[in-house]
Order: sequence, then C-alpha cells, then structure tokens
Amino acid sequence: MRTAASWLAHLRAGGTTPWAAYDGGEAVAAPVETEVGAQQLEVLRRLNELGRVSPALADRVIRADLSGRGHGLLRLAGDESATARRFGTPPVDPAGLPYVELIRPLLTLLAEDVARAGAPSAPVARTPRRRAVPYRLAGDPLLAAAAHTDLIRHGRPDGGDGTVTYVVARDLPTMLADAWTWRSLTDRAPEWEDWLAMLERTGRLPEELDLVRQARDAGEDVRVVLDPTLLPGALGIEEVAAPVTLGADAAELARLVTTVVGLHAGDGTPDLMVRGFAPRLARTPGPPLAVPERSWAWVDAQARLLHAALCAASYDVLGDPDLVLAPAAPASGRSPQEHAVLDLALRTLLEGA
Amino acid sequence: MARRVLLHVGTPKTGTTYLQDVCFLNRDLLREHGILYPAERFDAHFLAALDLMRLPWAGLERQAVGAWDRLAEQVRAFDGTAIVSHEILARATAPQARRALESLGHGSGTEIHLVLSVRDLVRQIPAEWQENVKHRTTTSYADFLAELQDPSRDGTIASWFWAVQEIPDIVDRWRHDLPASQVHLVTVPPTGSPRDLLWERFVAAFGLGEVPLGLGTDRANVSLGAPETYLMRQVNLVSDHIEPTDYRSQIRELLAHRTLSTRTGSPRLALDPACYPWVASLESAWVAELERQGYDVVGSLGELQGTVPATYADPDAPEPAQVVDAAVTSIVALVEEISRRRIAEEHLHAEIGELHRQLAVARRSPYLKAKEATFRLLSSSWLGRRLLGAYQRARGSSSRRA
Repeated sequence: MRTAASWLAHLRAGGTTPWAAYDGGEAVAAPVETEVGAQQLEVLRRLNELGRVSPALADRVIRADLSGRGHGLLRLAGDESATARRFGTPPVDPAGLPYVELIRPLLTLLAEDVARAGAPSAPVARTPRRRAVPYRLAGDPLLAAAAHTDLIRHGRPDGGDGTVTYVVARDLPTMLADAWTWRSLTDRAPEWEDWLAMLERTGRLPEELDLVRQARDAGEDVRVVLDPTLLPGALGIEEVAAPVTLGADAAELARLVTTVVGLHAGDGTPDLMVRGFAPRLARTPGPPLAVPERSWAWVDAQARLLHAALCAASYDVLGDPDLVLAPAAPASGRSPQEHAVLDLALRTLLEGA
Repeated sequence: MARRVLLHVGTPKTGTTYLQDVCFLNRDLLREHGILYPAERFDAHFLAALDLMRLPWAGLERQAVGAWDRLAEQVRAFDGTAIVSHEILARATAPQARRALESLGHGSGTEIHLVLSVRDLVRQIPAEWQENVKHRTTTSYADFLAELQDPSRDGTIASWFWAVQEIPDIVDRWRHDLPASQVHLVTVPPTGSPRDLLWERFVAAFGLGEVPLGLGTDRANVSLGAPETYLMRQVNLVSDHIEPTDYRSQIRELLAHRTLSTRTGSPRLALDPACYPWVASLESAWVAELERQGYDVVGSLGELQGTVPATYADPDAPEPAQVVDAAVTSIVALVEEISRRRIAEEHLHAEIGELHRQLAVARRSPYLKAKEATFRLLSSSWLGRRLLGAYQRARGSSSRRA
C-alpha cells in the first residue's frame, strides 16, 4: 500500500525512490510520524541520495520544525491511507516542492547544530603590551574582524585614550561582498542582489564602507589602509591573518541560518556564526560572491567617487588609492543560486552529523 | 499545576490585541481573582509563540529564546485558571500544537480550553491585506486577492493567510483529543453592532465577568482607509533600507497608527465584489463544518457569513486628491515629530552643557588634580597598578560597610 508511513519506512531504511515512483511496500501501522510533512520526507530522501544517513539524523529530520514562513506540514498526493480532508493546503508531490519549502527543515537542523556546537573560545590576550598605540578598527568588516582577532592575541584590546583609527579597505566590489557576508553572519540581511539594488536606489554605500565618513567621524588621528601588506606594520604586529571568506552559496546559507540561530542564542548569535559556523562554511568549495553585471556600473561609479575622495583626503592613506577601484572587468564569481544553496545545506547537515 | 487553561490561538484581526492589553494591564487584579496572565512584558505571549513555532520575526526572535518554556512553567506552577493568548499561534503545526498542550499540562490533569475568536472572510481579507501592508509588504490588493485564490496556496502571503484564517483547519491542528465542548468559538459581531458586544463575548468566553477590569487601554480600531493604505504601500516600495526598529516606531506606529488611522472620512477597505461568490462559498463550507463539529459558540456562526458593503473603492487606484491629502497629513505629523525631538534634543544639550560646566569646575580643584596625577603615576607601573587595585578593593569594602 502506497502510504506516507510505508514511504517513511522506505526512507528510514536508506531508500531514495521518489514518492511518485514509489509503489508501496509492506503495510506499516500508522505511527505518530504520519504527521511528518512532505517537506521533511523529501529532505530525508535527498539526504539518502547524498550519503548514509544515521538513524539519529533521520529521526531529527522527520521531527524538524519548519523554520520561518511558508506552508504547514504538507500531505502527500496519492497517500492511500490519508482520510479525505476538505480543509488545509492541498496534498503535493514532494519532488515538486520549491526550494523555499525544502530549505526550511534544513535551516532548523543546521541552527540547532550551530547552537549546540557553540563557538571556539575567544582568543586569549597575551600579557598586555605597554606603550602600544591604542587603536580602533573601521571599514571592511571582514578585514577589521581578522585584524582585531590578531591584535587581541597580541594583547592589544581596542580603545583607550589617544586612539588611532585604522580604516581598513580594499576594492569596492570585494568590500561590498564582505559587508553583506558580515551582515549575513551577524544580523538580518536581505538577499544579495536585493541589497545591492537597495543601495543603488538610495544612492548610498553601507555606512561601514563610506570610508570618507568613517575617517571623518574618527577624528584627527586616522589612517586609511588600502594595501594589506602595510597593515601589520601600521598596527605594530608581524602579520594579520586573512579574513574568513565565504563563497556565494555559503554566505547565503549563513544568512538564512543566522535568523534561526537567533531563536536559540539570542544576542549570542553573531559570535556563534562568526567564530563557529563561518570557519566551517569557509572550508566548503564554491564560487566566490561577486557583484552581478546589472549593478556593476553603479559600483564602478561609487568606487571612482571613493577614489577621488581618498586622493583629496588630508589624512594618511597607506597604499595606492587605485586599490579601491573596481577591477576593469567583473571578477569571476556569481550571486547565490537556490539549488546550490540547498545542496550545500544538505551536505553540511550530513557532514556535521 | 493550573486547574484550567484558556488557550486563545487566533485568529488575527478579531480584537485580540485589545483583549491582550486588558489582560496585561490588569494582570495583578486577575491574579487576585485566581486567574493568571503570565506576562512580564506586553508582548510576552507573542515572543512565546515565536519560540514555540521557531518563527523568526524581523529580529525580535532574539528576544524569544526559551520564552514558551518560561510561560508554560508559570502556567504549570499556578493553582487556578491561566490565560494564554496570541493570534499567531493559529499558524502552529499539529506537532507544535501538541507540544504546547502537553507543556501546559494537558494529559497531566489540567483542563485545557481552546478559544478562537473568528470573523467573516468578507472583512478578514481586506483587513489582512492592510496588516500585510503595515508589515512592509508591497503587494497590490489585486495580486493579494489573486494569490489567495490560487488553489496551491504557494507564496508567502497565501500560505500565511490560510494558516491563520482557515478556521476548520486551525481547530483541526490544535484540537488534538480535546472534546468539542472545550473548543470555544467567539464570533466577531457584524458591522453596526453595539460597540461593546465583542468585549462582552470575550468576557463570557474567558470567564472574566466577576473581575472589575480596568478597560483604560485604547479601544479605537486603527484601520486605514483605501487611500491611506495605498500611501503606506508606496512608502514600503522605497523604504526597505529603513531598519526594522525604525520602521516599527516611525512608519507603523507614528504614520499608520497615530496619523493615518485617525482619518476616518476616506473610503474604507472592502472586499472586491468580484470575489464575493468565491468567499461566500468558502464561508458556507466553514460554517457547515463548524456546526457539524458541535463546538461551543459564543455569538453566532451565522456571523461568519459576511455581507458585501454597498460601496467599493479600489485601493490600488484611489482618487489622487485623497492620496495627496493623506500625504500632506503625514508630512505635517512627521514635522511635528521632528519638532518634538528637536526640543527634547535641546533639553539634552543643555543638560550636557551643565554637566560639562560642573565637571570643569570640579577639575579645577587642587585636590582632584593631585588625585588624577597620582592615578596616572600608579597606572604606569606594575607595582603602582597592584597598589591601586588594593586601594580600590579596600575602598569598595569600606563603602559596603558604610
């Protein structure tokens, strides 16, 4: 008999047959699990296609809440055990479920994993260095975070009297990708292309990338650092680690997971995402995040404005101001793609189990 | 363990906010009468619902960590009747509903009563669209209606709307094994009914008749007219860069609730008459099902079959003059708000100036100068910092003794 319960038993045993092609197995007494939605069942089937799913993970998948907005638990079209219902969303073929429905149970599970794993301990400051110049970091948030971590390791917490502000920067398209990635890890962020379109419409760069404003707000003692090789010297340390960089799909997955982690960790979410989940996602291969062609002209124009402002600046600029300009042609890379984000979510869940 | 829990799980746009405000403001009084409304803040049950349903909500979810468990724990610890109320609970899946019931004591001796306040779809559909607009949607009314009529219910708007408005399905997800006598439907009276009738029905359903409740909260209906809703949608189209906190306080609260909703002369939102046959057939099917189930009804199921208003103004194409009028009212309100803040800012600047002046006077004191010089000297050496620490510890303990 072709029932949701028998298909679930098939999937629990590692089966990969799509619901539409499933011809039923042995009769299974209807357990509580008949309240599993088509969303969770299809996710379990796709996980089976990718690798071996442990019984514990299978159990978690079928019980996973559906995060965020969307349908409730969807019923299977053609479930011979289901009593006809006149109300609720019509039954579906799970193979035809859109990305937005399939990603929901995965986000719940990944967020649970992120919250459970926690974040590695914060870098421990060595003995504080005397006579080190007090500093504050601004500009590209990924570069600033990487430098800050290294400075903490060197016994250099930020702030203090007589602070020098270092505005760290690089080419504008990369800084935009960095700023969106940082927002995706720490806060709520719109989708990448929507975010760029919003910036273009308002005619403003995000506050942290408005280098001129950052420098102006910093007061008198400010250096804009464009050349990464000059940054360690400026900060008085031997080297600064490369920032954590996420590919296009990894950054989008992070964006989606962050909001759900918020339900577990509250204000501790950015820490879990930046120090816990991001390094894990950074190890997954994938194309980098890049400004799409439709936004390129605007980004290029903004970079030229920034360049002109830096050339006219009265404060120190370490490195060639040309470094802030957009490359002549868009870099290789792309915007996030739904099918790739879904695939990454499935693999990340499977590998973490 | 609470002896009885009244669990109000929907639906939106049926006077739920007013009920929750009254319960929150009177929670001490209710407790004196053996009724618990477990809330330390007005939106405690909303946050609990987000937590139960794992529902992110424009960043507010970060304040919801563990909120349902805390609420359920208070209910279980109370000896009496408890009220839990939030309309977005209507959206819970059956497993989430079962989890909620069990956490509140169902199956462990607590008598749970499910309450749903309900209103006809003829009024609910335009009200929900307006609510969507007040929550930043840019979808036109025509597209909203088309999405609702799509049988697949795909799309964020349709899936949410039916999850929180399809009454027979909501009861089906929430009821679990409760008898029909423990499911109560409070119907919203038709337009033109006495103003207090809905409240009287809530009082009856929640057994609040013996409590002399203070009803001081604002009971005005904050609905917008057609041109005002159109204006809000235009604002949404160009304000996606506004942070959620600012949107909530400046656009929804100041502009929509405190300004545009006071304009009562403009055409009201209504169901597009072309949709009426479709809506009427749905309402009939729902009423038949609810009658068949034999739930307790406070009011009348007949009230779930709405009537189309005599006039209809398309909110996607309002009279330009009416929109301009609403926009002018908005500009004036915003300027008044800016003025109010400017005055507050001037007061703050004056206070800061006075504090700076007092600080400068204090710094001229030779005693303070010597103290600062000693502090700098001690801070610059290891031994000095140890001495300073010892002094601060000793001073702290002296203070505690004092």
